[in-house]
Amino acid sequence: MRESAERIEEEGVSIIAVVPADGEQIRAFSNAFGSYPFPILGDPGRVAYQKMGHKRMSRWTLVPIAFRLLTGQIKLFKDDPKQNEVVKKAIRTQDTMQNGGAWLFSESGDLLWSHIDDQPQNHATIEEILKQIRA
Amino acid sequence: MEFQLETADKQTVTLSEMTRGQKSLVVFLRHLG
Repeated sequence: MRESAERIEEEGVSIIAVVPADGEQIRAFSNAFGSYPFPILGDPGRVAYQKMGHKRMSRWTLVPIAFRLLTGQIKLFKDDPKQNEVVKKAIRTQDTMQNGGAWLFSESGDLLWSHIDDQPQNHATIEEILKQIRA
Repeated sequence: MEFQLETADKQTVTLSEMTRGQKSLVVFLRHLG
């Protein structure tokens, strides 16, 4: 997402990321991974996640993910010990079954478009987001 | 949109005040890290 931010902001759109974590975890993340070109806000109780209709995965969804982890197709842990600590804490303390989504709002706060992920890999693509921004 | 969210310096903000007056893309991530 860091890589796509510039393309989105070139369209005159501000980006805000929301994570199911608290402010302290966000600060630790920024210290370990570097700052992001947009604000990261925490919803530790996942109130906004739930009220806005974001879904949780079924446990069966974890089976292919576990397979990809075991076969090395996904690398969970980082080489940097500081980054590793942040990732481990995220796994321990955050709801790993939570899915995300993307929401586009107008200047006046009206909802223009949204995409609710029904699986972890089913994110809105950058092309879809740009198409909706230009619509 | 009046949901209370936390910043890295533990301030509380609402989604509506963060998006007010500008076209905004709000991305809810699965997890941090």
